[in-house]
Amino acid sequence: MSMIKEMLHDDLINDVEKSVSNEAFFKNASQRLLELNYVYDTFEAAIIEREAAYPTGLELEKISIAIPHTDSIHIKSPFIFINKIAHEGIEFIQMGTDDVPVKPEYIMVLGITEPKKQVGLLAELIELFSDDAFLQTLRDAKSVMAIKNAFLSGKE
Amino acid sequence: MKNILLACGSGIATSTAVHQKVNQALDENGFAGKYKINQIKVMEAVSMQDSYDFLIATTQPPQGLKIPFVSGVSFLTGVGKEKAIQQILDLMNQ
Repeated sequence: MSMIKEMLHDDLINDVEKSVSNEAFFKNASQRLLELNYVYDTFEAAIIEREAAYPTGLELEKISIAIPHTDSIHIKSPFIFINKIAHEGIEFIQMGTDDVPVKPEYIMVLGITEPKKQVGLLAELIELFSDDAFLQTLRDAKSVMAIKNAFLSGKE
Repeated sequence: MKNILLACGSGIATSTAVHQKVNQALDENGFAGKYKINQIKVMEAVSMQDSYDFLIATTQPPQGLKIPFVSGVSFLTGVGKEKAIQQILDLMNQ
């Protein structure tokens, strides 16, 4: 079974994320993850700090995304939190730089608890986001279920 | 035998994805069995560098790094990947 399918949850798909700033995004995302019991209350500070030190914006060949994540000790239960970004105010920095702006269409918050077991997750995600058919389906998806189906219809 | 450090912020997420791709590129270019990769957190790199030939990382080069540095981000994005592979092959041949 693919790691994406295993870590996808119906309650962690956001079809219109309206946060107007990164601060608001991390606050809202962390609050939801905490309420749904996926993370510990240390998560919010940890992910903000990690993003500042090691940015996770990724301008891929066909789309820009961001993959914020932090250490396993802050995670209770493994997840991918999918956020379709609806506001221009969200701007990340390209991974490996400290000044190259990236405006992500999607922010995929990754909750990794067992690196050895979940090692394939990021490679799977990158492969999906490089696939034209997947991107078309994803961009056409207007609801939580449609977004979920786009990810499930990806390669096994 | 080349000893390679491979790092990201956490030593788990992005370095794992890059690790697989670097293995593949090295093996396809005839270096199978001729290298060892140690996957670490980037903050560990400077204290370990004396025993290693070069560092590949998805972060910026850490302060105090003396060994050669290759950005591994292109292995994730696909943009500029050929250039990064060439840089690594040149380091392997030194």
